[in-house]
Amino acid sequence: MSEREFVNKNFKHIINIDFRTKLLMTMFLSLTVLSGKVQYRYPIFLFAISVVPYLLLLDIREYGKCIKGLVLTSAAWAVSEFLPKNTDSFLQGILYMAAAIVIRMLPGIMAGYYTFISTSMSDMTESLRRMHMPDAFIIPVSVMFRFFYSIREDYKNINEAMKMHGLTFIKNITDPARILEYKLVPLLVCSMRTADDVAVCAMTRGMVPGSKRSSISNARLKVLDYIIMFLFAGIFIYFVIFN
Amino acid sequence: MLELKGISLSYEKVCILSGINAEFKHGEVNVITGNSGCGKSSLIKLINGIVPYIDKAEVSGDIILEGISLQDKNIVDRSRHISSVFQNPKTQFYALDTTDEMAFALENRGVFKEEIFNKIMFYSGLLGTRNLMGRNIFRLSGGEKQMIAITAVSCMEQQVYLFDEPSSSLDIKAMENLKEAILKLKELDKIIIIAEHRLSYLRDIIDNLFIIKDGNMVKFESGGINDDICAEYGLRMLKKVKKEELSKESTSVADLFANESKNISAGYDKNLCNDTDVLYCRDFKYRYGDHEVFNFDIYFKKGVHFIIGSNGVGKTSFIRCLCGLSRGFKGKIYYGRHRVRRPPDIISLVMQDVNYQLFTESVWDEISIVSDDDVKKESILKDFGLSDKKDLHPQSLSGGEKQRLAIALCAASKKPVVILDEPTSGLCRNSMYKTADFINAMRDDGKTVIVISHDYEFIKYCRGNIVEFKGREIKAL
Repeated sequence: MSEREFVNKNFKHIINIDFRTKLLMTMFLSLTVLSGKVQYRYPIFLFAISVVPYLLLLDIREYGKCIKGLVLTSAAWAVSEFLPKNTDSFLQGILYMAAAIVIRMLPGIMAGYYTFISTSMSDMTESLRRMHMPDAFIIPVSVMFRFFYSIREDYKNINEAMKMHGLTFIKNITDPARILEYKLVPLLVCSMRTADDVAVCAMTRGMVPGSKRSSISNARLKVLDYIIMFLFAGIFIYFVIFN
Repeated sequence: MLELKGISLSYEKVCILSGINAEFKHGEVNVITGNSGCGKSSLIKLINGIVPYIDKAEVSGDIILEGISLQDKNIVDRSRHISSVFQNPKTQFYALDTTDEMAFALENRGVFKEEIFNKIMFYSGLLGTRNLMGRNIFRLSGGEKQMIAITAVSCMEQQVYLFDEPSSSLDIKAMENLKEAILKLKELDKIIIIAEHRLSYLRDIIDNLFIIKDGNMVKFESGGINDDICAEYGLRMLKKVKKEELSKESTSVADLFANESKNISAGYDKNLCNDTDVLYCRDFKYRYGDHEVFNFDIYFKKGVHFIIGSNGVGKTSFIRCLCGLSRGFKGKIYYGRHRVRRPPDIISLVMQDVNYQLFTESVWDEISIVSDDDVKKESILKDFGLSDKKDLHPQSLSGGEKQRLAIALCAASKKPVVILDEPTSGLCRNSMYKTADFINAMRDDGKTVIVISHDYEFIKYCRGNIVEFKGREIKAL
């Protein structure tokens, strides 16, 4: 059996780029969309760049999120472009704010989501190691990476258990703090237990911070990586710094 | 050879093990058993170093592997010789996909990439997990996760393999796979030590059985192991309870695609249509991706109903649809001829992992969510042996107590339907009998109890209607 057959079957990526590239792209993309200047001067360009993360979600088969993202962004763009400005309407103020959040912040969050979901853990740790990050940084990040999944699963289960107990948000509208507590306490307990178990498991498999590790990862920067890095860095410098 | 010499262990002055001596030889399957809390898990943890390095305890005695004492070595040092497979398949992974997971331990040792792949290939082939390579671990079933855990530790090529209740969340087929994997390790001349309640699946391969009781450990060789010993020490049965042994008259097979002869009744005579306390599930159709999981109608009368069937046939999906947790599900539920629009109004659910369903600050607050009747609450807590724990935080209870509390909530609640998902996973004989008694008490109280279980020993003891789910998955085999 060749090495190829071990490649992650869940994610047969069309876009094969390194974790470092994704990280840099996420950074420049979120900084670019966050900047208010771009929105006033180049609204169409901003729209184009803010849908990039949703299109990337197609590569990890998150079709639902992709469609939702595209619809939301379009709606937000329409609100900020076509609604009459300079009115005192409270509702319109809220709409503007929501639109700003969707256009300026959501793309960065989704790019980060894509970055983490589309990277296998060995690729990520290897990439970070090549960036000369210390183990004291890499190990917590890789654990967080894993946690992301288990917390999501735990959270879903807790919500379902609450629903079965009739502890819904609507029924307890007068006491939202209590509902929050009901969610957080089991979540913390489960997370702590997972953290302990995972740490113990890693130790019984011989993980020691600072020791020399090998890796099965092929992580390295290719031509496409450099193109994407320069493209996003260029966009950021041209539109945000020079304008 | 791994030797234990005069091992004593106590947690906060409570003595768990006192002066245990044992020898575990290469190529033998050693099983350690005993009731819940007897210290078998502690013994496993003592060998791999979790006790005393993580779980603080006072330990004396010595552990000797091939003439070398392990006592002053930490977990990482011991991991060069000892592999551990833990109870909970959910939390014994470091990576997200299976290939990474298998490579993880070897990467830690700095083994070259080519060699890592060679080892993964060899052991995944040997243990039959090659088809699981490169998959997202979070999407695997409990049995598949456990097999990945075993393959991952096998790649380390250690001397000693420790298993801490490896079967607790497995179905019957997965337990067979586990047994095969253990046999393979035995053929490789490894030292195998398994802490386990359920002995039936290991029966044919046990070389030595160690029973811990009151801090002492007794050894039985394979010839001397019989059901009398199990009865004497209150252990789970050695003999496998077969499906055919379960009471016949109350068994019904639910063909999950019974579109034409649609109605399947579980202990319910359709002529008794006047019966008002029947749970009727209509138009239960569920698809997962392109795959139709089930499409049927089913009735449940008052009483206890066990749902059996192999993993992946749709038992859990059925329960989720019944509880209204499945989004987009269109089936209708009737109870006592009335349409139930919000299933949580009539159904209490005990999840497999009860940690998710304990919310409040004390046991009393917890039970107060479901009932306002103080007298009833008191009496139920007393029945479940929890009245002296009333003011404790639910999350501070032991695993068994948490589960009892979750069942107590169902008993205290006015909701007429109770659903339990695998209530006996990881329970010793006594706790299992207790759970069965609680279930029977709820039946006597006039509730409809639906239990998903793989544990035939439990089903046989509990007695109830049995509904076997058969779907396309089974037919294909």
